[in-house]
Amino acid sequence: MAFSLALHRLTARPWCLPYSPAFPLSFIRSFALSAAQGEKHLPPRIVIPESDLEENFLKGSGPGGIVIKCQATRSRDQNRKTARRVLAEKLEDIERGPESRSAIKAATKARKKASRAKKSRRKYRALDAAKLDGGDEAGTGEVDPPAAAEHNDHVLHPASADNAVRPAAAAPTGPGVECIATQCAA
Amino acid sequence: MPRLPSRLVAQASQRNPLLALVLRTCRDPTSAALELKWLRDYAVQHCVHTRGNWRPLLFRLCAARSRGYPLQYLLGSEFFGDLEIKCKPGVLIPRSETATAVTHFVNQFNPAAFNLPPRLRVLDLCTGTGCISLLFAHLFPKQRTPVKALQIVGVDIAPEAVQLAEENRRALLDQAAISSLQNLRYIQADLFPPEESQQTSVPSLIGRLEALGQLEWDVILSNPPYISPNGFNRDTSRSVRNFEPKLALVPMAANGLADADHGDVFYPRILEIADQVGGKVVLLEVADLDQAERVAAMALRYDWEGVEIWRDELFSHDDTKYIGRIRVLGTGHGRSVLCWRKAASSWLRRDGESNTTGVASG
Repeated sequence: MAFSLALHRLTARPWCLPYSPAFPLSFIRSFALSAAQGEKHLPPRIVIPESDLEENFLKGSGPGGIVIKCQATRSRDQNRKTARRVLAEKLEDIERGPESRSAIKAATKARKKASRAKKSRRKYRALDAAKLDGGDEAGTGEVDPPAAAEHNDHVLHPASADNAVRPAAAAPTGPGVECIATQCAA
Repeated sequence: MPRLPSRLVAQASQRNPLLALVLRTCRDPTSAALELKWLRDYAVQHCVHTRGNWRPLLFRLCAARSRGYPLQYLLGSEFFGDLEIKCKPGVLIPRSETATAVTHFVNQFNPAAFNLPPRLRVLDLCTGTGCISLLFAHLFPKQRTPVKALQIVGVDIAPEAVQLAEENRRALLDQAAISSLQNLRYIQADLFPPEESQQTSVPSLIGRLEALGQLEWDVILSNPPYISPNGFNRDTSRSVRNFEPKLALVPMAANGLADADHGDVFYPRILEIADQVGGKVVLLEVADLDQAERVAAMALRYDWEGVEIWRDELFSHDDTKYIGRIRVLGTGHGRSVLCWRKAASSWLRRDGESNTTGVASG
């Protein structure tokens, strides 16, 4: 079921052309638009000619070059497709660096995550401030400190409360075996 | 079988006790971890439908696997090319090497061969799960040859195999809507005539084909039982020996045959059938290069125009060599023997390649 794939030579790749100095202006401008529109202009996936590939079913020693091994699924056909995709991504990373599909996607994802985190921080800072105001208004602070602290804990860290729920929801998939699954995927 | 290093077992059981169970049969931590993941996915998926608890089920699956019970019988299927084929105890599990050979075989057909018949008739002998005929029917139309329609019949002596093959055909017809599967059917028959047969209750193939009104066939595919009794005891794994049907692995034959001859029993009979039905191309699976050479020699005696041996890995054409007059393609274990009549040499892009005229002598 498992096999390895190696790139042992490189022929001219026509997909390099759109990134030559003759860059269409519209392409550059699209990056100035929103992220959603920017995603439409991801560079095309590269296709490696079959003649540049060397394929092996995992048994003996592997060939040289960039080698991808893939045995994630039970289907040899599926593993072959995955290995080709992974190899193409790897090659593109090497060739185009920060302009590769995966790098652009990762950058977009990181930007979105940062933006979400920022919004979340802003929201809870506002809630926090409101709660502190509310606590002052209640006024009995010194009399019952443990109750106030408990109350604050709950409201101030809803994110942690949310986290506490999540593992339980994920439990049916079994954490004990989960760790093996992630190790396999790696 | 050498004992597993206790360090390996300890590491596995520390990660997950079930992993140590699966490791007993897999004997390699990476593949054990993969198998455990597939078993767990299956158990969880199964319990979504039955609303049961997947943990006891997974434990039972792992315990069975630790005794060498085949993964494909536990999960109920195996991938063959890009088809998922159902597997059940009592019917041989399809092997990926066979799928590679069938895929390569279909790729040999020349889209520009205008002497191909509009209706190509294909026999799949000893079909088992039906995997070879199903994959052929699936892949052949993609080759875009002048063939307009396929007519395929799969044959097996075991009733459970015929039933499972038909089940597989229906499942693939429903799921994938592969229209070429409509002209595919499976019949129960014995390849040997009653006087030579070990199982006299099953009607013989030629009789069944006569009853069907179809005695002419173009292509004969077969993965027959080909393991000799010694090979069965010596070379097969515990999983295969204890849990897969021996009927599909070792030919039933009269006593007193030499060991290698016992393993080869089906090949002369299949070549004889190919002659009787006017077959133009034959693809036979074999155990290894030695058996491939013996089968190729038989085929030359039956006057086939071209005979070729294929090994497991057929990626590169640089690996071609010759054993006597016979061309051997690829690297790895000897896997298949291809034979063709003169009429079919252009079907397979093998014009001018002949073993009889000595073009390929080496």
